[in-house]
Amino acid sequence: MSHITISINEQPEQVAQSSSLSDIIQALSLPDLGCVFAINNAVVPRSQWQQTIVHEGDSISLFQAIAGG
Amino acid sequence: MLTIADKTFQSRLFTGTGKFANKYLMASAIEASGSQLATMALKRVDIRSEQDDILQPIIDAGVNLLPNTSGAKNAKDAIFAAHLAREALGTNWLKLEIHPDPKYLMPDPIETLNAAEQLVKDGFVVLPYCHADPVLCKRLEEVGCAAVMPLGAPIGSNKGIASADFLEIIIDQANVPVIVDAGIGAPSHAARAMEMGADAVLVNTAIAASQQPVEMAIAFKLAVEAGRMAYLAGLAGKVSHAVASSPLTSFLDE
Repeated sequence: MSHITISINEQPEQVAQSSSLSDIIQALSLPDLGCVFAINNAVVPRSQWQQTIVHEGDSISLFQAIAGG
Repeated sequence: MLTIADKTFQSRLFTGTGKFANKYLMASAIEASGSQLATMALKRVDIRSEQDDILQPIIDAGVNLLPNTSGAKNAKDAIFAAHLAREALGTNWLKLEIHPDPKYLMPDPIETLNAAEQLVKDGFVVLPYCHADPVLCKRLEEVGCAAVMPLGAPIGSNKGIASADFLEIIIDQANVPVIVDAGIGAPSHAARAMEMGADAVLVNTAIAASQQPVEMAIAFKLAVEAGRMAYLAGLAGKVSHAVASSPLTSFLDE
């Protein structure tokens, strides 16, 4: 399978071609709940993760819930 | 029973999840505290390092989540963080906090009010962290905040209820629950806030940074219950001279 390079939180990351946001969560071994993507500072609803396919050179933001007061 | 927006709480002690030595200790302490609402933060994932899933132990304990907007320096940041949190955690509850200055972490009143107004329109249940400013608390209530969270003292300072005189005014005027947040460093501080008529307190550092967080969580639980009970019973008034509790029969002299 061929790979493409995208940027996640400004760090380069190789992912399989035609990866969806759901695939990226799985590839990074992140829990489903507590994570959220944003593209161009717009939140991507969870319902669109599966159909949102990333392309070479895309830049995405990924956030996760952490402990805090 | 405390009601905020659509939720009711048996416990008037809300807890933070930060600064615990590990997530198991955090979950045990929150469970021991009886707290039904716990704050969380969001961060950008560092894809090069292992991620720790702190969410599951809190969900397993049946505690409601209150995501915060920590890290936001203005209303725009906070609104973005709020929308991220809603999607990440599946709750529209939000602790709105905007503190541009890292030294004192004082909440920015203007940005907080502006963000609160927008977030209420966006359908959030907004609980704003703010200074113990009675006018600001009124304004936050007027734009539709579900509660107000004035500070007792600076975040993490453990200095207690330094803002007592102003908290009293806020509590007197409020038509929404008043949750004293920040600065509560000892169970006696929490009890004092509750005796004053606060509806709840939010405690993080004092429990998390204790040498025995589970025992400290229990101490806070009892203090909050005692303070609430005392408030409901009504404190006896203060006077500036002594008033004997025993009859002053002068039998020793006669």
